[in-house]
Amino acid sequence: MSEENSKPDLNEDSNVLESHMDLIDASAASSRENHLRENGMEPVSLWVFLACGIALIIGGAVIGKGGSISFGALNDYVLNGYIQGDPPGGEVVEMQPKPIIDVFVKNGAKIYQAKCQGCHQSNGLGDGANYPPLGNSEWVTGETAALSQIIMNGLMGPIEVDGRVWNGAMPSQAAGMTAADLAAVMTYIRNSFGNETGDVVSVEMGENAIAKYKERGVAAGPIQVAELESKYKLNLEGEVVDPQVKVNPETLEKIEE
Amino acid sequence: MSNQLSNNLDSSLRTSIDRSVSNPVMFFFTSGAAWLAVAVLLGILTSVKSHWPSFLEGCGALNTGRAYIAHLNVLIYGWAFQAAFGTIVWLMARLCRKPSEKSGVILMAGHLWNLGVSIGIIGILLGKGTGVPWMEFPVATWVIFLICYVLIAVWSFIQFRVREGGHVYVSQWYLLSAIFLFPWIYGTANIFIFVFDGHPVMTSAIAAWYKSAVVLLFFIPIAIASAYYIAPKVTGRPVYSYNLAIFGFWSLMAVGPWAGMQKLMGAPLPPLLGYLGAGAAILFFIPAITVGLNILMTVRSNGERAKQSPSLRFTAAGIIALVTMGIFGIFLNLPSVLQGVQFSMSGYGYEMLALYGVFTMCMFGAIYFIVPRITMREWLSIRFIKMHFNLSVYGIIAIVIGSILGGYLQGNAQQAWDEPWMNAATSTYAWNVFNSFAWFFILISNLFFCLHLLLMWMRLGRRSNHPTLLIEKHGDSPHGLEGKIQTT
Amino acid sequence: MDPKRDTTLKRFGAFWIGLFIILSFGLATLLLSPFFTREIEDPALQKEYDARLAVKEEIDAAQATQLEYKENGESAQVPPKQAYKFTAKQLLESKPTKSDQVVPGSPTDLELNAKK
Repeated sequence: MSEENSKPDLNEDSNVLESHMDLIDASAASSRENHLRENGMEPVSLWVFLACGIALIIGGAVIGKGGSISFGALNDYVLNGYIQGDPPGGEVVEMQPKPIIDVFVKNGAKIYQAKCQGCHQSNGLGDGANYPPLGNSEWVTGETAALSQIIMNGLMGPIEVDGRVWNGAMPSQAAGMTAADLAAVMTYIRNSFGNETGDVVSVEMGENAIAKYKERGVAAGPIQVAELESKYKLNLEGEVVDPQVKVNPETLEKIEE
Repeated sequence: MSNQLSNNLDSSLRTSIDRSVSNPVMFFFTSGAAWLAVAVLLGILTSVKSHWPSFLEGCGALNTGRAYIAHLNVLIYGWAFQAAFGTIVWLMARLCRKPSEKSGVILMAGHLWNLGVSIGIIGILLGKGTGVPWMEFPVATWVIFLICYVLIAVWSFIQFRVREGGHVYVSQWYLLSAIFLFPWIYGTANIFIFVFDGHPVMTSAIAAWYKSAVVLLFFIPIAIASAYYIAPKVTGRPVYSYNLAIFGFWSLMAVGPWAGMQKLMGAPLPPLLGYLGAGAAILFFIPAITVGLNILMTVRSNGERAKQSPSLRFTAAGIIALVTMGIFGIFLNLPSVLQGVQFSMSGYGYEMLALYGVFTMCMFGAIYFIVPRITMREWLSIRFIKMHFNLSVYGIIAIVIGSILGGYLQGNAQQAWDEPWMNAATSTYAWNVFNSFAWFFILISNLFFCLHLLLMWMRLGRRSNHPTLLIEKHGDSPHGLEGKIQTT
Repeated sequence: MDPKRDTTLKRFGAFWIGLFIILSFGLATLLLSPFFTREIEDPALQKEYDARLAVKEEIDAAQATQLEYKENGESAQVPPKQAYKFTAKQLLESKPTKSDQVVPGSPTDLELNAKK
């Protein structure tokens, strides 16, 4: 009642008790509330102390593992022993030597999937309109220098593949391509999709290809068939490698038997 | 008769306070409940997509990355914050015995908050999320949220300053600390992540810290504040031990700010940060068990009420979840276990335990207590309340155990050196299906809750002076089973 | 119900105190952080940055050659933003050629079908 501006006039037909009762009924929920009391002083069971103590010990041990708690500790960034390095047990698994052609085809397949599959499709057939197939393609199975320069520079203008003229545009794939990658992807496409050249483009040949690419110049842009036919119809320089020689799959080095 | 008079004065003061805050508080609760339904739907969607990726795959806006982030952010900023605001405003007004004079401003700030959440979730679904965990709303919205927060929170502080004097209640400690800690945490995180040009690894550490701090220092204190109000109020008994309450509060404040960076253990960060975080998360057990003991013993001293009163039941369930959270916290943050579960589902399970198990259940308890008082009606249907309670409890237990256990197994599988990674990924399949079912149950429970709350909002509740209790016990009342029906 | 505790002045003061406490941490961060941050100069990291930047430059240069305008005989490489304009110009300049596709329903089509 003190919040309102005026006190109600008491007249004969207002019953204070009744209006109180109405108020109580209307706000029945708040009327029946208990008072909030916070004066409990029950003793705490010892089991709780024990549990808290155990938690404290565990937490403290974890914090202690963190080393010294100081600003100096904020200077090192390595948590030794957290990330697994060598497998538990201690033996380092030796990579089994495999024939070089298998290793290169496997690596090349990965690179093909990342870089080439988008246009030439995973079956190497191209899309029928813009991107020529790689299977049964004389450009793929022919001279390695021409193929390598197509890959490194990109291609522009008409090219005849499998009896048909294709007039798409291929972007250069040189960005990030190492000699080993180039050798691998060339070996892969020369031995897949129906092509069976059976030979390996070695890393040395890949380096030669990159040298030719740099010699031509990055700014010269995509290459055309005329230039390929005049200058690059030859094989890359490098020692011919026996496809069945065994190599370490990681380092690509020959393993002496 | 003077006792009767003081009772009448008390109840008229309570009524006037309730009436003054009824608009904003009811708005916060209803809009929060609506966002909760949206969040649960998105939770189901995320969960289903994790074992059935082609579900709704045509709809780019709902792909897993966006749905999961939208689910978490709507749950937090749409539901959890609004439930928290409603509780803060009402609880502080009641405990300071002061009607609120700025309800209009608070209501307007609430509308603005909802606008911010809507903009944020649309931004996320359109792909403009920031990618920082729990801060994915587009950067501009954090200014809106900060302004709304200030508009809502500062008046609770003013009420505290002009309160009627005397005792400062335990709930008020927790409410005040939450009111001030949140903008500190929020501002710090946003300044370091979005304003300063810091080292990216450290910004992700700060994001992990924000995740933990907002739970431990805002949501958990508000849940505890509501529990410290409802438990003694509804049971009519005093809080079990006042000293334990003091200890629980200060231990939470001591432990809370340190936790969080253990998520980045092993990253190129000073290892000290990770270990401090893990240690603090383990030590969270101490305030959890303290508060749990206090509240649950208070409830136990009048156990009958827990069976009858929906608000007490939900609150007790929430506090049991708090103790569980403390226990799981010890287990999940041991560095040897952390190695495995760092990148697994367990993190999600623990977050859901905190956000849904503890906070949301305590908020449900608060809502079931507050809404009859501000709408002057009683809840309509005992069955709705029981369905809501049972399905929520089943659902959250399922999600927490499923996620934490599944995550532990997934983590171990990920650590297996010579097994392919695919094994670890496929081992989560069964757990994800389990989670989807659990979220579905939670959706049903929330549909009941939303419907019930909407009916109350429309003032279609029962007009009676008997509360809606979960056990019929008014057979011997002179007013009969239904109580005295009001006609005014 | 002591009215002296609740004055407008006290409310006004409480508002500003509350606002200050809320914003204090943010203010403190903004004020103090320049004193506590430092640039990390790690020569090993710097080498890695330089190597990465060099690779990025190389790739950018290589990709830039694809975006220039280059003519080679009949076809040309046109920057993407001008592709439509260029093609449209070409189409406008070229004359329509006779194609051997038959439009269904046209007189030629009906003739052909009548003959069958």
